[in-house]
Amino acid sequence: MKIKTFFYYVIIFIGIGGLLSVISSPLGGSDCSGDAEYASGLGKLGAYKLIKDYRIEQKKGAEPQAYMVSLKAGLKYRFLPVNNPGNKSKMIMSIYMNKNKGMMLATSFNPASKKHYPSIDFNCRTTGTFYLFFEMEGGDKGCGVGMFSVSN
Amino acid sequence: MNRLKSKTLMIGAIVVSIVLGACSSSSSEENSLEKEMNQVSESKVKVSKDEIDQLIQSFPSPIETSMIIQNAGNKFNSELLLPTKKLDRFVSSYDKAMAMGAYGGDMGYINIYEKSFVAAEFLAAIRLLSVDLEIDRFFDFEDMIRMAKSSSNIDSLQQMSTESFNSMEKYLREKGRNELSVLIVFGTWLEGSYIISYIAKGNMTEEMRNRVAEQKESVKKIHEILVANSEDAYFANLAKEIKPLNDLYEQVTIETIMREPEMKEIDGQLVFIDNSETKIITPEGIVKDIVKESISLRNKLLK
Repeated sequence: MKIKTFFYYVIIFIGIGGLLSVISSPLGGSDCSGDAEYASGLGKLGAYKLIKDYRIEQKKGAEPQAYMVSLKAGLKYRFLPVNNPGNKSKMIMSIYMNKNKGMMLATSFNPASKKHYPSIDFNCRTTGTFYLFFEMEGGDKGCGVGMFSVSN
Repeated sequence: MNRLKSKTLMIGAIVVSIVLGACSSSSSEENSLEKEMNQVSESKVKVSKDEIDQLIQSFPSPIETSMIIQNAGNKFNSELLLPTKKLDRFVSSYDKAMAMGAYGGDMGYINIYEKSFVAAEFLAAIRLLSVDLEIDRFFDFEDMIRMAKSSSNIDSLQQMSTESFNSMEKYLREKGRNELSVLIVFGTWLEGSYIISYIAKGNMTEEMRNRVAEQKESVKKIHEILVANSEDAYFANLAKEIKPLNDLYEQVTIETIMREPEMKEIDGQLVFIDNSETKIITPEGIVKDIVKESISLRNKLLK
């Protein structure tokens, strides 16, 4: 009986720990590790070679996440946003000239038509450092993986 | 009395829960590795997270460097690769990190040209260095060497190489070993720059001249980080070694004329075509001097 009580307490405390980790996740329970999205994204790269993946977790109303990327003139780049199945709003990937979103070079979302594209290809003619932004449509919460790949 | 027993059981349960929680979040192997990482003698290098993030994100990957070499019509030349014999020339962990980056750069070159039969000896070198640096667990060397030897599944070998280096670099940054990350990035860049320079030396086309010149920003960034961390003798020496190259690059002017990109939808695929233009202005003879200095620097630091 005493041992049984002891194990009940253990289970309760483990449960509380698990609950806390779920609450802290942007999707409140969905797996935000991005492993499944990463595997799915790899299959969509085609002839493009993966350079880097970005595991994105956005809270509601949070600023877009920005990363620098080095692009080389003469190469073709593919940017692929892969959404977590639990997302209510889709993830948008955009490339800008600078950190202040000075000039947009490419985006996976057309605000005029409200259309999301599964990926964007960018034929680069200018070597330099650019900025990759991730956000959810309407500043919503959500998570996903962004894939950055290249082809010649 | 019963209440007391109940409290004791509750406290016991909390302790067990905490222990179980700790076990689930990190394996004993990881704990041991972290302990070893923390035991490494304290470095004077204080590369901030922002600095290293910027450096790593803004440097081209070895895949990109190799693709531009291939696009310029150059054939694969195994003689350009860093020798894999006598690895004991890399003594300190800093030497080894730089060498690891350089061999990673060579792997990019080998993979893009699909010369996987050459890859096995480079993977073996990376394996030895990564064991010494205690970061070998990010690489599945058995599988990678098997793929290289059988020349099968080149795409998978390439992907595994990229993933392994990305995971290793992420781990080093998370563990605050930014100085090793910087040196790995530096080693990778140095090797790529050497290959570009060596090819340009023998065939100075407009394309190759521009590829040499466009390294300006990379040299400037790495020089700044090395100078900023010159309290450490190793970094101070690297800063001194790269300075002549940085001075040469200061004479190169790169002007970018920005234009709105063109957007097309091709077979449901959104394609953006960059319409911007880059003008590279170099005084007479400067690119030749840069090429000479780049080759000399790589051979001095790595060969």
